[in-house]
Amino acid sequence: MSEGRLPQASPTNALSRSVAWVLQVGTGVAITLITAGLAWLAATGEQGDPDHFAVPPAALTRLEGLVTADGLLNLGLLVLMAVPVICVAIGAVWYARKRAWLYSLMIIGALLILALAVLGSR
Amino acid sequence: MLVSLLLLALAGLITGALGAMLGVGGGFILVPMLTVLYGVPIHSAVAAGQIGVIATSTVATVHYLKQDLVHLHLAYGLLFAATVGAAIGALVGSRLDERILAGIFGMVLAWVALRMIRGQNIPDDPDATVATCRPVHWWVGQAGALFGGTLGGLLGIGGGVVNVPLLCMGMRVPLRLAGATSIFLVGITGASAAAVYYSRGYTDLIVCGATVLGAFAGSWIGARLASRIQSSYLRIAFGVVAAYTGITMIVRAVGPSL
Repeated sequence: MSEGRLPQASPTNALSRSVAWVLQVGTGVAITLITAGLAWLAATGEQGDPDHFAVPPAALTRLEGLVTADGLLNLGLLVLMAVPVICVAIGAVWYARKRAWLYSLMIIGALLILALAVLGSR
Repeated sequence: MLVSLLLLALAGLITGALGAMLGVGGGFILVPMLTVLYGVPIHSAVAAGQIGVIATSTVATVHYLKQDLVHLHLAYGLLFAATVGAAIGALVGSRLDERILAGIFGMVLAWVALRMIRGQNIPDDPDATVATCRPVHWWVGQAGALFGGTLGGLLGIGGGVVNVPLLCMGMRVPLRLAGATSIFLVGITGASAAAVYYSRGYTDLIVCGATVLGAFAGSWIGARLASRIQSSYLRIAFGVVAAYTGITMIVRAVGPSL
């Protein structure tokens, strides 16, 4: 695979803009949720509770699980973890639209390996 | 409660600033800080370290993208080799002698550190951008990413300390671009590792939340500082980080097994 055969990334291209947008929005949402969760904890003084560990994401689908300090923190961290994965997916789509199939397949392969690593760790 | 949160945020801030400046994740700073200074259990500290890497990566990448310093094309191109390498490392890890690997990798890093500090054959164009950068030795990059990923999977070290010298020395990418491209890559690999720790229930929400907020702020500061600092200082600082990691690996190779 030669560098010259593939579409070049430049500061003005759609890929850079899309990745930057996802990173900015994702970071903003994560900061908001995490700050709200920590402020809630600090305000209610739950520091004595040792059980502030992450819960399965399914627990966040119920409103009573979500609208708590831990729920907001959980959701904020999940959003943050999802952001780089979305950036990878955007790369796969962008290269597919440019018909750089090998590149696109390589990125999809990387995504699958990352997903398998997470699933295999359970 | 507030003091604890601020102390954790401070640890994240220091890590985020250094990570964003040098293109490394910073787990090698944050994990010892959390375990030794704050008494956080090791698994929770590593989980916080991995999530901190993502926070550092997201904020710094946005800044570097605006400056046209993140070579996305190169990053996406190396991602597959790096993830395959990490998978190989995880699969064969139990069959290989970790001490020999740590020793070899430690010596390689010591060599990298020496070259970085001396500035030997390091591309160092302060005005370089993605538009002007022409990476060479594509297959060297792929092989290096595969090897680096494998070592990372075997030895549990972050990607930045491998990515930056690989891009810089192996593919002739100027140092600032190498650091910026690396910080984007470590965010992706960090997300995978963080998800593993999350699914295993090691993610302490308070520790992670506070350190992540600190890392966001630190990364914002670090990315802007990196643009103002002479690249020779960044190169020397990276050399010190590589030397520290190399010595840690050599100690792991020759020290008593735990």
